[in-house]
Amino acid sequence: MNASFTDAELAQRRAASRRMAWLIGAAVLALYVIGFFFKRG
Amino acid sequence: MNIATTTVPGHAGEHHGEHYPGGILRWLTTTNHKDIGTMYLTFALIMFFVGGGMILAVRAELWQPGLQLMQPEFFNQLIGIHALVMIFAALMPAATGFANWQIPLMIGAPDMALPRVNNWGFWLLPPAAILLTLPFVLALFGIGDGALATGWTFYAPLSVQGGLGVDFAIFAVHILGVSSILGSINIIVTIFNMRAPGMTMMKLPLFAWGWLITAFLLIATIPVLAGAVTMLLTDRHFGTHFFNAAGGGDPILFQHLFWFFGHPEVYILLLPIWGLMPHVLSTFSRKPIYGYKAQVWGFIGIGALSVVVWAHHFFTVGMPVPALIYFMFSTMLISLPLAVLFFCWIATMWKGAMSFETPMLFATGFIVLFGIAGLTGLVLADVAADAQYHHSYFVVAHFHYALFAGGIMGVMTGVYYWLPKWTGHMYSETLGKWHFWLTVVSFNLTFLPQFFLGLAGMPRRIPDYALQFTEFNMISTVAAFALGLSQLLFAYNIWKCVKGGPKASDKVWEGAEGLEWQLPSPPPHHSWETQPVIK
Amino acid sequence: MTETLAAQPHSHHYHVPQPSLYPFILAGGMFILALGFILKMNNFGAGNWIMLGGAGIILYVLFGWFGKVIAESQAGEYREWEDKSFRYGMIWFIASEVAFFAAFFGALFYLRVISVPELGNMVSAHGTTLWPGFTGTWPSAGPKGAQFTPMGAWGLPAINTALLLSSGVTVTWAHWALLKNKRTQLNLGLAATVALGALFLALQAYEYHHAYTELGLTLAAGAYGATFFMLTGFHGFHVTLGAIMLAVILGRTLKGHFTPERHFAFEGVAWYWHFVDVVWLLLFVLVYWL
Repeated sequence: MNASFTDAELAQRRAASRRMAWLIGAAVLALYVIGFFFKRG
Repeated sequence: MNIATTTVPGHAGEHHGEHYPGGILRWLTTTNHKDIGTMYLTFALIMFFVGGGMILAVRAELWQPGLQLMQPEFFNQLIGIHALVMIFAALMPAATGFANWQIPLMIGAPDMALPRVNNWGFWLLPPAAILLTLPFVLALFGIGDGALATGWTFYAPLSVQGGLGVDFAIFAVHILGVSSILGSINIIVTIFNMRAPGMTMMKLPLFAWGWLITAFLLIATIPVLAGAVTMLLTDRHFGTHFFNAAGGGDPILFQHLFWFFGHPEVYILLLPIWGLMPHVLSTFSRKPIYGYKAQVWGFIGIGALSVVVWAHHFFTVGMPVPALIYFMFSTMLISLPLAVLFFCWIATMWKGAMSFETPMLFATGFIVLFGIAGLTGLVLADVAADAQYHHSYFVVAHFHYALFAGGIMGVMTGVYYWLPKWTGHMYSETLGKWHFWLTVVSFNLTFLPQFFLGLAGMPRRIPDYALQFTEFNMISTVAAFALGLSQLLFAYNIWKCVKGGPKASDKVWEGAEGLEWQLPSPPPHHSWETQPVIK
Repeated sequence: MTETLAAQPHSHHYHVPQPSLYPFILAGGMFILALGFILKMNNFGAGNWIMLGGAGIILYVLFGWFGKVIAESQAGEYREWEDKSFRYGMIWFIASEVAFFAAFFGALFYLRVISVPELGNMVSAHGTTLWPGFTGTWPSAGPKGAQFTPMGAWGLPAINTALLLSSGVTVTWAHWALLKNKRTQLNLGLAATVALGALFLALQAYEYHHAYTELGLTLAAGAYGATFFMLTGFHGFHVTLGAIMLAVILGRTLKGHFTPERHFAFEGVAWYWHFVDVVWLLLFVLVYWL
């Protein structure tokens, strides 16, 4: 609540959000690519 | 956006011998934007539970195939009034409550420009809500056959032939319309005339920009709805033939008029939310808003496109092919400015030092779930595909992703974000997080199955259904009750925060930017009487 | 837009009015009026009396609220800043009125260009026309509508056009006189405008009577009757409101209100009058003439 962070904590959060963004991006891309291999029954 | 100000504390202590009535009279007579904002928000919360109660009765009926609890006529009344209550008496007043509280604080204005008109706009809402729901009560006494039973769209000829409830709904819509027009005029005038010196239009907070476009849309489209229901009224009681082929009229004319209002209405509900989102995302990412100008032009682009796409709501009614193609492509075009907004929201978070207090949870949840609304809207816009989706539960699921996840969760974002500013207390973060997760999980369990039901062919607005739809309907009903009950946490959390709690600082949030955070929490009754100067 | 103007802080505090009960009472009056109208239309005896009560409450508030605003204005509580709010407010109010009339013009367009011709061309599966003998040409009361004679443009409607256009001139004359502080001409110009408006309304009433009794042209006369009466009727209602507002302004100028510099109320009403004028021109061309 009403968090107040030190510089080190802020840097850590920036890095974490960046990692998470790449992770989500990779997951979405993977889903997209996997979709090409699905054929309708 | 960087606002550097020479802060003059915007609240002078002495007031030229003013005295305010206390008790209930304070609220009946108030001309203060904060009081009026509080009334709008309280009214919206109450009506949110009224509309929610109605739809839980509907979900209970849909628990199993066959008729369990109610007759189809009553079922039809519940779905229509649920929609009208949620749109006109919950979502729109909530957004207007935000506007009343926040726009003057954010643009450094002493109040709304037309304070008495402001109060009139609010006090029209309770009478309209009574008109909407009174026929339910009258029917208990044997007067009339209940409320509007056409669904919220009033389609002719059903609405021409309907009972007393249609007349009540027509006048409810008239009064709600007057209220919306008054609110819109007030917001436009406030933004044009009351900004702090030096706050140019391109320094205006995005929340105010979102509301400005909303207000323009309301002024352009609400009178058309008023005209449409007036024609309906004269067709019902005064012998005209607007929607009757025997006199050269056409029921489809009603659909055109209704959706000329109805489609922009979606953006009327969402633009204030899109306006507040960047503020929240920027605060909890501890980064400036990304793409301010792009978002302003996105709002303008969506507002302009929204009034020229209406016929996609009735592709299946029979239209010339060039008309179908035009309305399909113009509708799809809206995804471009909307994608700009999504990009800006995500880019605002990119590499930010993020923390996930309750408003940020709701904001990020909003982006994901509203994204689903947008993508399913894109397939509905496809004329060929729409023939299958039309009037199915797919549509119901789609617009609940837009209006619950997009609209109501957006309102919750704003409530948690600004509540400490308004009350001077912090809400319970633990309860807030519980509220978020329960809402998101039960919301998806309620509405995700409805996509599948719709694709499998279950029509909307029918109290009975074929056996193979049972399982998904049961999931949806259980989850809907969980969703409804979770909202009690929301109400309780707000109540507790109003009553007390840890003291909120002026700035409330570490990363918050903007004029409103320079005022104390709560701000004094009159704020920015001496306007700040923006450099 | 306002950058240069707003570069300096305002020299005074914005006038935020004291708490007032009028808005709440007005909302209540509107509720009662609507409730009474609904009951009346559905044949409940009390409807008329409830409507009367609602209308009475609304009238009371109109006198009280406008009276208070006029008193505040005379007491000098409004300066340029507030004046600008009123101007913006009036402009956007008129914009909403434009949208309201657009709905009815839109209906006229749809009925005349799409639905009536289509009904005339409908062919059933057996190759016969769906409505034998119905040609779908305008003016039309539809396939099953009553016989009627349409309203010609060059009789009373043309005279009415001349009346309203002249009233636009006289109100502008009055405005010019106000700016030059020529009070007699101001009063004369306003009085002439009110008189022209009243004459217009009297002729409209006569025209309606003529339509109902001699032409068979009624609200129930299909697409033509519905659009004719709804468009001209709402216009006439707006002329009535405008004429009342002009009469109030005339009363105020007779009392010596307004200065060449400060006279928003006059201008607001004049804008409204011009708006009503423009709507009439569209009506004349699209409803009566073409």
